[in-house]
Amino acid sequence: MSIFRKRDPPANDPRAEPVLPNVAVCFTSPFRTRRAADWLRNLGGCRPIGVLSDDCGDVAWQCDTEQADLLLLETDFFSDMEDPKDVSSRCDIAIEVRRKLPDCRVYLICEDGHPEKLAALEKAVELKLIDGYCIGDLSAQQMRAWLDETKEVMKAVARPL
Amino acid sequence: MTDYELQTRKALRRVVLLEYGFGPETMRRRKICPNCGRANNSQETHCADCGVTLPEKTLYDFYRSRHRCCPGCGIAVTNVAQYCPECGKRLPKAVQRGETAV
Repeated sequence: MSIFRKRDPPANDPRAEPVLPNVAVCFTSPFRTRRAADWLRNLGGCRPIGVLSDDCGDVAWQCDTEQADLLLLETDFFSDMEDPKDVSSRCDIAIEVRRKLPDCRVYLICEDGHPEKLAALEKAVELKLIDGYCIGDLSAQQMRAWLDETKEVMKAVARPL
Repeated sequence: MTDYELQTRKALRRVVLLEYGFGPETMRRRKICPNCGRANNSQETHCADCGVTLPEKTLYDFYRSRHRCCPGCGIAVTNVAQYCPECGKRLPKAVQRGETAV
């Protein structure tokens, strides 16, 4: 046994550090993803994970490997047909992620000025493909609300029967 | 196919229909102007472009008058179908429908 082995504090220790949610971020370009991850790190209250590829399989694999508790996906309604980044293709990613991590919460960040997409977004939430969405820039207040929701889910999952 | 796949595939199909402006839910929200052909919101009484009074019927009502539709989910089904392929509801017997001009 190594003398450098890290000793984990017991779960019922009041001094134990709260478990921060792992937040996977997948924006429409690697540059935007890195910026979003940096923004989240400065915001605090979570462990950001940048998912630089927005390929469905890559996102699902990385979320599973890193055990993401929350996934932020950005849409791009002007993306080309060969590489769509619209509501339904983002829901497709959410389905794959949830197949591996049923308790992972998924939120979409959508650009402003597309009222025709609202019906699809509402339906995606109603059918529980995603947990929520925001239109326009993501505010710190909105992100904190999503983090709180995620922490509630994490607590409920961790609670012994 | 697992239950998860079946459930999510159906849900995704509904999202896709709404996103691209198709499906019963989209058509129920639309009224077509008989004068200029503009698609208006179903709550409107007059066309936003030309001001002509809009018909009472939504786009979905016209669609129903031309197709046999499932009473459960509203999608068009074939005349020989006994069960809806979308929601599984047992369908009433098919009746001959007269064509209505939009």
